[in-house]
Amino acid sequence: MALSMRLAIALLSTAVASCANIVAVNHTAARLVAASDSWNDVLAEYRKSCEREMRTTSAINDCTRQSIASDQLTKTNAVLASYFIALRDASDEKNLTIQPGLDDLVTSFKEIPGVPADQVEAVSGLFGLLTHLATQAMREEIIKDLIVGGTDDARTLISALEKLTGPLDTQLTTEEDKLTGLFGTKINSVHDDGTNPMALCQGNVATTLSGTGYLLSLEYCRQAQVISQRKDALAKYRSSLREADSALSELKSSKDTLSNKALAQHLYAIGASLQSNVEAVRKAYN
Amino acid sequence: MGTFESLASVAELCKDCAKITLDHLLSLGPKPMDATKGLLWDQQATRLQNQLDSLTALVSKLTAEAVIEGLKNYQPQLDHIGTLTKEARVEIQHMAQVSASLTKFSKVLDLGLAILSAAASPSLAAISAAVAASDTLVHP
Repeated sequence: MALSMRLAIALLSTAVASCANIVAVNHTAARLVAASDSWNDVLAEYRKSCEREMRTTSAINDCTRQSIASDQLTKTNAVLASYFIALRDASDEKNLTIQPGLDDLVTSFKEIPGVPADQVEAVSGLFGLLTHLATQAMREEIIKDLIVGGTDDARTLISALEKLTGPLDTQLTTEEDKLTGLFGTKINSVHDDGTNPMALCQGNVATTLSGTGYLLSLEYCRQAQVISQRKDALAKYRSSLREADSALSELKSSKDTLSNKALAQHLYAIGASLQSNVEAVRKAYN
Repeated sequence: MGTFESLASVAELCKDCAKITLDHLLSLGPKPMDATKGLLWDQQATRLQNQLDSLTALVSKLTAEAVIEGLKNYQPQLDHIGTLTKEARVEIQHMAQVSASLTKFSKVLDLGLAILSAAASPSLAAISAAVAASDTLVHP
């Protein structure tokens, strides 16, 4: 076997292992980008909850401060998103591959009469591989810089997005209580039993009420359902934040071993769980 | 305790008060059919409803202020990540340029081989192929 071919095979083995894990990094980064996008719906809830409440009470005149809170959280998330996007783009093979160009040249060169086809393949293929490895090394360096320089701060910001949405639990629970009080009183005021409005949303209990009571209960159950979905989305959002934190932790601990096969396996597992939580958050808002 | 924690704690306290108010409100039960008792019911329900609305509005304001105050603590991380991402963008662009340069170099290599081949066995076809290879280099 020609020396060039032996060298190509040796280099290819290294390239394939490293490629597979940079693909895993890319896959995970893409999932982080999608997760970050889904978080915006939850972060907007301070404003949205206020707007919902404003429609049912005169005690709230405007939602300016709530809008500022949501906007600032969304901007924080945007900074995180740009970091995830950079990580994704640095690990995206499609952005930098030169193989299609080389393939065309190999094809046209083979057509030159008198040139041995196997030598064309060996030279172009070997050069393509060397070029790929050179850009691969640069790519790994950029990815490592992003991981070493950014994961700690990214994890701190993810922690912030979890901590600062803690009061959202308080907000949604209070909104739910206010809604229950409003409709419970209205049902009671038409001489129906509205002492436990939540129970009216189960089975056919509401059909025992008067016409007005029944309609009130339907509207209450519809609005209560929205708040319940937002609370569920908040729980999924927190799960996805923890998954994102796990992914970043995994990347940081493996930064010197990007060619480690186990890294790819861990990242794919975390990515799958992250996607599941992200889909649940999206579903709550669609 | 930081400002965020203080505001969040007060909001939590208001939430608990709102829950107690809600329980009192619902425990009034259905409005009595009797006119006098019904009037009393209305007064109590209105007072408790207003109290609940005020507490809810307060919670909404407190949680928003807690977030706005809390975010101030994370400006250093936001600045650092922003700078790091910008630097990475420059490096990614540089990498793309290096990749393009290497591609061009590979074309030079193929052109060299094409010329050698044409020199080894000169023919119209071989020379045309060498010209085509040089054209690919000049016009990628």
